Parts: sequence; C-alpha cells; structure tokens
Amino acid sequence: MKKLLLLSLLTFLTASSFSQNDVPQNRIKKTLELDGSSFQKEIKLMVREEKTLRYSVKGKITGGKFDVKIYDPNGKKENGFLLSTMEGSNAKGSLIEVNTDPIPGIWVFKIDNSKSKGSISLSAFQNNRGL
Amino acid sequence: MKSPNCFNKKTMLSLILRLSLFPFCVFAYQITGKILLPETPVWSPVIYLSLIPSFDDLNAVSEDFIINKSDIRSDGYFIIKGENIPEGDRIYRLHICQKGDPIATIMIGGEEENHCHFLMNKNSKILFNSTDLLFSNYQISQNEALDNLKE
Repeated sequence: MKKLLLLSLLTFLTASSFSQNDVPQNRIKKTLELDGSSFQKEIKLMVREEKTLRYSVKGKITGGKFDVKIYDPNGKKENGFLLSTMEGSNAKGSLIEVNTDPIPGIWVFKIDNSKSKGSISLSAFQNNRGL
Repeated sequence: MKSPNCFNKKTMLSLILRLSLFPFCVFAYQITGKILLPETPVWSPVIYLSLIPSFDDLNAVSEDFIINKSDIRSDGYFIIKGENIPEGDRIYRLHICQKGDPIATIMIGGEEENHCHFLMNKNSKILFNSTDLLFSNYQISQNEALDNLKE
C-alpha cells in the first residue's frame, strides 16, 4: 500500500513538472532573468499550418555562457546562438526570424545557461501570411 | 679569404630575395572594403575580424574569437591586415557593434544583422563591398577561388 502511494505521488510530481515545461503554447513572450546559476529549460511552441511564424531571442549576459537552440518538429536545429564570455566580460546576441512556411507541429526552444547573469527575452507567434 | 666581389654578390642576392618576399612577410592577409553605417541607431566606427573555430560556431560569439580590428573612416572605408592567422582556409567573420554594446555581439536576421562570414587564408586579399546599409547587401571577392559563405 505504501509503495502504491509513493508511486502515485512520484507519478503526480513527475507529471506536474512535465506539464509546466512541456505544454506547447500558441505564443511565447517571456523574459528570463539570469542570476548566475546554471540551468536548462525547454519552451515549446505549437505551430499551425498556413501561418507565418515569427520569433526572436534577444539578450545580454555578463560572465558564463548562454546557449539557445530552436528545433523544428522533426528535431532539426533551425536556428540559435551561443554567447560566450571571458571572465567578467559581456556578450550580446539577437536573433530575428520570419518563416513564411513553417513545419506544423511542436517547435522547441532549448535554453542552456551556464553561470551567466543578465536578461534574455523570447518572443514567438504566428500570424496570417503576408502580414 | 673571400673576395669582396663574391661577398657583394651574395649580399645583393640575399637583399633581392628579402625584398621580393617583403610584401608577403609584412602583411600576409588584407581585407579592404566599404560599409555603410546608418545614422540611427548609432554604430561604433570599428570593424572586428574573428576567427570562427568551426561551422558549428557560425552563430556563436566570444571575445576569444576576435583577432583583429580596424577603424571605419567617415566615408565607410576600412582596411584590416595582419599575419596572425593559422595555415589553410578557415572561416572568418567581420562584424560591427552599436555604440554601448559589448564587442562580443552577434545580431542574426533582421535589418540590423551585424556580420558576414567568409573563407580566407593567410595569403588572401579580400575585397568587401556593401551597396546598402550594414550587411544587408554586400559582395566579397578575393584573389583566390574561395567561395563566399554568404548565408
């Protein structure tokens, strides 16, 4: 009985943490404040057919490394950038993409921060073609 | 004992040889060009040359990559020359930064894209010519048959 309860609790906790990170959203508008800690994060975007996909990632860091990679639903890396600093120095990156014929499905923004401080903003949405 | 004539001939030959190699020894590579900077936002009139470690690093930026820089004149012309690069054809990046931004800045896509990539070796003579603002419309030509990696 105890084992069953423990298993249920673990399943619930796993499902909760999974759902927080893994539910694909229709649009992304986030600012990540980087405090010098290291973490990895995935943000998922549901991309629909026949609409233009627009996304941007912009930010500036001090120290450490910041890496963002964007994958299409087939798992192919579509874009991204890596900011790498020397001790105490800064780096800045921005990425703007307009994809008029995106592959429909779940796109993934994979973020890997390694000890950098700063701020990164992400934005992604779809609108009708030609707009 | 060596005759003065023999010594003079050897000295002259050595001098001629050194003089003929002089242009290749002093500045092994050279990049000249013109880039048009918009009035706003304000861009620093400095252009940086980076050695990119691999194709996987085309979208990576670090101060470590930067190997040379040059001022951009008010009419947009610049010249970068040096010999501190490795053997063989390698990937290089020219980039500029907006005032106040770190020198390790990469801007990908959009009207403010701040860089271009190309292949070069230590004997390359590169000509960069931009016909529109920043890197929105440019050509790179060189003395060797290396293709521009314009993306």
